Amino acid sequence: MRSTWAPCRLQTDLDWMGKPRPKVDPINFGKTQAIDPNLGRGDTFDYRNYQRLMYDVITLALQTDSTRVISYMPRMDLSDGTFTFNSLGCPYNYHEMTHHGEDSKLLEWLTKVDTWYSAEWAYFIEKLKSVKEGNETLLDHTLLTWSSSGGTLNAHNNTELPAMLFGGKALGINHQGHISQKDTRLGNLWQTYFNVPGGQSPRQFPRRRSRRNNQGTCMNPICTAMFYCRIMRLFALALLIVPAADAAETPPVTAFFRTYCIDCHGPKKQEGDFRVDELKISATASNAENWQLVLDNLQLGEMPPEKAKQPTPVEVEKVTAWIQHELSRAASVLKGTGGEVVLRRLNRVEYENTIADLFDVHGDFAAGFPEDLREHGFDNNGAALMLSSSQMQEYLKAADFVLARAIAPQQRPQTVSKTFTLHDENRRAIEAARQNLANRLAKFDSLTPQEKDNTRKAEEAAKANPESHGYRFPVLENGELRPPKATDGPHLDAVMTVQNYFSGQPQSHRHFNLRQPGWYRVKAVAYALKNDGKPTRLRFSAGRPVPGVLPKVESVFTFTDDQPREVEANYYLEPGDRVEFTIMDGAPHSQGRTMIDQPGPFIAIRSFSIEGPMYESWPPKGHRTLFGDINPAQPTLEKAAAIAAHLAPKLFRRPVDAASVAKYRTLYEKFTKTMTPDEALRGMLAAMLVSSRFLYHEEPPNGPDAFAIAARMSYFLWRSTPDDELLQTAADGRLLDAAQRRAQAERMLADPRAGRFLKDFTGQWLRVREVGLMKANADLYPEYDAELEAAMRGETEHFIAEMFQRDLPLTNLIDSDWTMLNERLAKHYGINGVAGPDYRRVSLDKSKTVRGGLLTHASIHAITSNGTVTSPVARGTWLLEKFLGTPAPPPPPDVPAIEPDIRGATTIKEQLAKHRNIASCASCHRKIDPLGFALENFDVIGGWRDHYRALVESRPGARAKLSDGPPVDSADEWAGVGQFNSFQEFRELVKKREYLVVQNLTHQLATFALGRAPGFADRQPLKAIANQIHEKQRGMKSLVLDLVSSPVFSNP
Amino acid sequence: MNPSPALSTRRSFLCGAGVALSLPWLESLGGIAHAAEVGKEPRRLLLICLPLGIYRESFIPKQSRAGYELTEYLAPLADLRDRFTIVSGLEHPGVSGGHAAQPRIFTGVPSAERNRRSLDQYVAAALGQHTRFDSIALSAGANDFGWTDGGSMVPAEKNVADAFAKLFAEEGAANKTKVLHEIGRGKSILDHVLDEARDLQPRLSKRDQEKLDEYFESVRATEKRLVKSEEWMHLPKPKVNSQPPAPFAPDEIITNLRGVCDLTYLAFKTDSTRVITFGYFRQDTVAVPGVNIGYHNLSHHGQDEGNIAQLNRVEHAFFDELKTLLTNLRNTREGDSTLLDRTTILVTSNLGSGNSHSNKDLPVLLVGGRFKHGQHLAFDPNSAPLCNLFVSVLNQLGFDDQSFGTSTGTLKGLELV
Repeated sequence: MRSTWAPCRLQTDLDWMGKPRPKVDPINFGKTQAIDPNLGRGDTFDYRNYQRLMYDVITLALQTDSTRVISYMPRMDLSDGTFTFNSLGCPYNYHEMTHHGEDSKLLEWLTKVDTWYSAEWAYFIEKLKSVKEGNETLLDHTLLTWSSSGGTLNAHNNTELPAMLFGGKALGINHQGHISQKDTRLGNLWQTYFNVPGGQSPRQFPRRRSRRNNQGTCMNPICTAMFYCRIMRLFALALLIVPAADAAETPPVTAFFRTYCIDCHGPKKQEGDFRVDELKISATASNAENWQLVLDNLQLGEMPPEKAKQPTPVEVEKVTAWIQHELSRAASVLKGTGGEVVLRRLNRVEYENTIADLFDVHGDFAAGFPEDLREHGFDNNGAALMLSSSQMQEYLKAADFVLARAIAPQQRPQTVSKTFTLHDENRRAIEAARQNLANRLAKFDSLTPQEKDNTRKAEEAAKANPESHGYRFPVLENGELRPPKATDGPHLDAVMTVQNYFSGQPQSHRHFNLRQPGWYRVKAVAYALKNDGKPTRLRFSAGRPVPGVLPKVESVFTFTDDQPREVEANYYLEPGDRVEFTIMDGAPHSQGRTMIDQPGPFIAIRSFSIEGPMYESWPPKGHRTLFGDINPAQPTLEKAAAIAAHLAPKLFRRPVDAASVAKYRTLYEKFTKTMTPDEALRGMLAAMLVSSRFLYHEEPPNGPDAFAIAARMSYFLWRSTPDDELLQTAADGRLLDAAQRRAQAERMLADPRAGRFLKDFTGQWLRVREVGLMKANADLYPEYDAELEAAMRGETEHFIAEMFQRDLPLTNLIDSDWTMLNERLAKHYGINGVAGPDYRRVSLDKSKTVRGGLLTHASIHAITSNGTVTSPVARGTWLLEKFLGTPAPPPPPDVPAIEPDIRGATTIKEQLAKHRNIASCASCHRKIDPLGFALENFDVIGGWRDHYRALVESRPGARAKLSDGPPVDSADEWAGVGQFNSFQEFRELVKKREYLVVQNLTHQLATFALGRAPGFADRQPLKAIANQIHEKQRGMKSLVLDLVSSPVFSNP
Repeated sequence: MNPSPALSTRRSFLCGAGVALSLPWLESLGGIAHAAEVGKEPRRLLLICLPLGIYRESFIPKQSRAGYELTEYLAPLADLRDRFTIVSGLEHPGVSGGHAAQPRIFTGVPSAERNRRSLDQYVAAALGQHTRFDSIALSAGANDFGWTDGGSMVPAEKNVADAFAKLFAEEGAANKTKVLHEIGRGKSILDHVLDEARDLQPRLSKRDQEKLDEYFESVRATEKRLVKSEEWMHLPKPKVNSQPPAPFAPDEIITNLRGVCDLTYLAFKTDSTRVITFGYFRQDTVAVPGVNIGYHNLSHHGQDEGNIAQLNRVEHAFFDELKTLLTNLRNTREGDSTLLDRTTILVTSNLGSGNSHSNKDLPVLLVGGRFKHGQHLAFDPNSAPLCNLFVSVLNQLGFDDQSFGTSTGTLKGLELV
């Protein structure tokens, strides 16, 4: 647009340059009376003269045809009192009066002042009327509108806007008194203007010179409509704009800002890219956000900075009270989403869960979906969830996959079971050894001397133990281990130990042909042996047997005594999957005789078995979801329509009208022309699975109805689709009631599906799902392994889950006298007495360990390190963003980055000090770095350190050894909060900021729950929730329930 | 759903294949490529990113202009010296955040804004009209570089063997019928859901309607893609002598890279696509002799000599493979020039320094095309955006765009032959 316009503008200007400007009688334009608003503020200003002068100029401009379009805002009475109506005797400023709150005094004066404006406007109309143009008057050729962008100023709403129309008689306008229309767009009026006789669409607006009056330029977007009337020569539109709430400074704030803020946040300097002199109180979300920022900084004592002149507490109190008042008023106007997207697409996790819950179909059908982007820390943000054609193609593919799995075959597949015993394994191994020996003896002459030698030894061994030569697993009988005998039956248990020293993968493969995807039950009967009471673990895992690919599922069972126990797990398996049994704790790799001599520990195995596919019912769940009681065999048009009617409400999470169903019926019909009825039916079902109504959370524009609320709840608490009961409570309207929502939420939280919410939320909020992205440097941290990595994540996930289940006070997030540990992590933390892989609540002896609270979790330390060094900046940022909810602004564009140097010459503190000495970095890094340094005693993998680790080569070329580097210095000062000498002291300071932690968690939960950042209007209710939780020392579960039952959840 | 005009032209042209076959560069290509562009030579673009940076001291020459000394990494490319340019000092203004800058490397969109429109996707819309695939995103460990105008990431073909099959494996006749049937069905499904979503539209707020537009656009784009695949289903895939890439372990990054480079060469040679992107990356340890620390950890070398030596090995391996690819392109004649003459290759990274994770002073190697090469263009920090180079590349590819992303013009000092 710009590029095509610019040359035209220039050409127009050039064309007019050659023409003389119109001559007019001199008017008193600022010659004897001041019109510069800055010169004549206050009572001395002759407002009436100014106003009339403006109207005179406008009249002249129209009269001389210098322009045909003018917009003008006549009000210049600013609310800071610089323009008053003292001449009328009015004691108030205008803005104040608009918020009259129905106060009779204020209303009386408002009416008086507005009447005065009307009188001035009448002067203008008379003036236009007095100018003859052809046979008519200027007024007849001009269409005027007097309007406001505020409807009822008291409420600051933008509906029921007033408009007065004048003139235009020669254009065919017939005025007809008062037209009252509700729910009509003001744009319709502008549209009407296009239709006046001789009028043209704005596209043909002539490019004629227009000298716009800068002072009177309309601030309102509605005046963009422009008109031209060829026949009538003259046409103009004047808009009188009374802004809803403009430039509103009030004296307490103005004075305060001038004294304490403007030096750094004003015209001269814009620290943090923020100016207070341009702040406006008006009901837009961005304005409100800026005021909120001011409020937060004042309340937290972050501003003014310590070195600057400090306001008294009373001054701060006065100003913050004023801001709060204004903000809560703005909030009532800004109800809703603040313009954020609510039409959310299901993200990958939600899609997978939805398919799993509806159809009991699992698999990697969503593996090809493009990654969901994160916004505000979460990957379920509506605005960030884009859709591309690649994804659309993936949806089409996934739909076919899901249908192929969900539609049951005519015949129920047979459930097969197979049992494996080590006895069988031994028999096979013995037979294989016999065969092998026979083969070697048969071609003995061609063997190498070495091979001959080995063969002879084997022959002797086989002769000595003909029954057991080649066996792998000793047999257990009467508590004694011995080689197997030919007469042994499968009733005898055999013993296994760690099987392969390199990969831990089993060396024997027994096959169970898995042809049908579905649920399989995997079992083992086993017990521990020679284990001295130590736990020995057996792991089941299942997935693709591809090196480097982690199993899809695994279960670990611990055996502590020699009582045989059956353990089992149910897995959804697909053809090509492999189930593995691995012994995790055992004697070093050995077999046969050598194993008998080992001290243990072992696992005695009676049997392994696998059984499946298992069906809870027939037809299976997915089939029933698709078809209900309808038999899909030999589909007909009627059947197809009935199936669509049955499935649509489940898929679309709300009732679906007959017209929509009819369209699917038509689609089916269309398909039958080129396909078999079965294919056509599948085609129709596939269409339903790529429908926007399935893929998006559909919410009515005026706010969620009961069904939208049901979906909000289920995708929040289950990360999946609502179940029948929830849809039922939506159908009968109960979900619109807060108490009913709370009751449903309690039910939902007791369901295992709530575990998805906890894990997903914790992983994203605290970023612990990123643990393992940066592996620790193996030279510096040789103790780091996959088990520790998993345990790090495990602690935080179980910690949050425990907090949630028991509704523990949120202060535990900062410090706790317990945590969730398994053996590996306890060892890492130097805590004794925790055995086994399971996480359990462990009481902490605070005199002995620093652990307790999220800040001591190794997971947090790991994700804020790069595997080699810790990053105080990353840690400080994490604390501010994720823990306290007071993020620092992003760095300015041209800051030099820190070049880490681990050669030991400088510590990170010394390096960062350089950074903090750069002026543009200092203001933020003063906030960020100290928080990071407080955690500096925690190394890259969350271990406690007093010294940095360093690698030292004893001699050139030798393998470097670990040694103590420079000492760690974690003392610093948290600006505005206090000094600390150690992490422990810092944690005490954080406790003083507990409210921030509570407020932040509330905010994070709301962001996750709504799939958007909470709007400005959500702040007040969220604050109320946080206050309540904080005061009553309630926990996360209460918080979630409060959130679900609050208006935030049911608002748009 | 009519076939796009370009394809119709192309098809009608193929009817008179005698003319096509007389074109010189068709000789080696089985006679199907470039048919729509009689007399107009094809131009291609290859974008490569190393998301962990390229160790500056081993890559960027100390001297600028033509007389520079080859560095360690450039040494393997010595006999291609007059076919490449090194550029240093460029950056994407407003793009920051270390690794977070990775998806923006070919878009240049400042970090504060939503990422969209990458160079490859932009040119693919035009260059891709005449080839089976508009563009191909391959991956030797990473590729989140391609972004649509709407702001969605174009997912990469992670498995090089699958990509090979897509390009060259011929579907059996039965399967072909099945796929054609699926395409036809897919089009009907999309028509239906489009219609359904239109009903939904008036019930939504304005912002949500915009969101739904995304759905419309995706559906339409998918329909287009289906139409295109349908067109191409009727044409045989090019025959190549190479075997599909063999499977490899996840840490065999070089094997992966070799497969990707070979496939890139074959794809260009057979004119299956004219736009390719890929990245060279692995988080963990890589199977490169003498390397036992994870590649990512190595990039955070902390100035440690041992780390740097290992990092050099990993990066050197990349340049060795690049050399093979470039040599292949140079040795393959097409018409009256070579593939290298008709292919612009841009190698860069979102990190100027892996150690500091700085997004300034990005390393750039520009190869091929019709640029005047043979020099090191050293820019002062902050003096020119990388997008200026993108504009130069666009112009060289035949686009008359004056700007792209944050560009302020073309790249000074870079001229066409």
